[in-house]
Amino acid sequence: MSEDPLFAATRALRELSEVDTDTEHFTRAKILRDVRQRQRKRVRRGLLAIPLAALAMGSVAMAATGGYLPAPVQQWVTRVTGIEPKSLRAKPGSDRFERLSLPSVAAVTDRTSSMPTAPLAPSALAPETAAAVLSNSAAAFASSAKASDPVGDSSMTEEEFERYRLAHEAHFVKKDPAAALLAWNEYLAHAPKGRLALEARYNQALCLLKLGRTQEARHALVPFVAGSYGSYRRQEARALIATLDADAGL
Amino acid sequence: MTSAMTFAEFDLSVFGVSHERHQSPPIDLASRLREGDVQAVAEAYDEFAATVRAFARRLLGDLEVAEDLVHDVFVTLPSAVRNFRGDSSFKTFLISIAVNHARHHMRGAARRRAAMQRYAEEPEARVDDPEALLRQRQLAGALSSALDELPLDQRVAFVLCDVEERPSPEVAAIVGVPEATVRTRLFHARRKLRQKLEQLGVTR
Repeated sequence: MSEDPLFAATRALRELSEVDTDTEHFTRAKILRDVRQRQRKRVRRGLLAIPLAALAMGSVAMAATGGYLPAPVQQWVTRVTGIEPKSLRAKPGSDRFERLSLPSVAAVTDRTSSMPTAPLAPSALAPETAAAVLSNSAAAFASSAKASDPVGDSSMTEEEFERYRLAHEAHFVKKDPAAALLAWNEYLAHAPKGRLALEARYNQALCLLKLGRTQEARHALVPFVAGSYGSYRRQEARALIATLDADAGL
Repeated sequence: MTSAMTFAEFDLSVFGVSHERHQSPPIDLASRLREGDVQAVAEAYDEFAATVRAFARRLLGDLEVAEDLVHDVFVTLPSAVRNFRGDSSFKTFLISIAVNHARHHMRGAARRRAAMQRYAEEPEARVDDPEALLRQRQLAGALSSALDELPLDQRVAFVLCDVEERPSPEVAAIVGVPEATVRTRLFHARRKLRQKLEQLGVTR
């Protein structure tokens, strides 16, 4: 009786187990060499990864401080590390602060010189006039002008930021001076000593100029020229008033 | 000599395991491997390489490719051992690593075997009964060729269950599937292998 060929072949495969000691030793040596090489590579990768990680963290921190990160990333970094972008705590005159007030002096001066004598849109201001808001807020600010931090509150609430964003959008994106003026008024009414109050006040004056309300604009610019807010926008305000004077034939 | 042996030494010698090795249980070895101890890799090789090599040779049917598989198993052991929780034997764990690596080596082994058959470079027998050994080699070679036709899962099931005669619960643990799946794979593997052996002219 012959064996099942599959069983026979299976048994043959099982029993064919030659052991070549040279091969065994060679494989062993090769394995140990490769394990050591892998360990060395891992150490080298670690040594390289540490400075790279430090560099990456430094870059993120700098970008976060400068406010160059996308908004969601910035919010996350602020929440995790407490690093706030420079734009939210910039002092007057700093680069970032300047960048937020988009129109240059020359551009505004040009616009002022070609400004229509009548307002571009009917004044849709709140019951309190812009001048009243300006004088009130200027007085409020002047009382704290001698404080060491002319920016005012060190913290910024979400509502304050949102109001500022809306005003900024109406002013510089939609280019609607009437809506922007209303929005700046609302921002200042909400945060008269807010972080971006100075910026808002200056932008208020620009809106008034665009609307042809030159007297109110001049009134708003005077505290800047007088140095009530330090040197912030002093030169620009002086140039604008000079342009207004020239237009008025003074 | 035997009388001077302790009971533990005698007990171990029956299984061909030295007393010194037994004092280094797999869990301890695993923890040293996790720490990247090269000496632990050497110890693991000395103790378990024969098992892995036998499985690799039976699965792949090619000595050189089997050595490559053994090499891969032990080189990757320090990182793979992180998955070893000690709920199966260390041998079982090593065989499961070999199964995971086998896929990369199967094609190369089949190619080499086909080339060897073409050029008739099979080594000659050097034993007392050359005819018997030749017959044995032919049968083993035919089975290895037939195994090349099977999917890896069925091939592994056949080698572990029928060639290495491991119980199906252990095979299930090695390949990480239920026992019923192992049995199904084994059934299909046997059927296909019988057909293939017939085609190759291996008959009763």
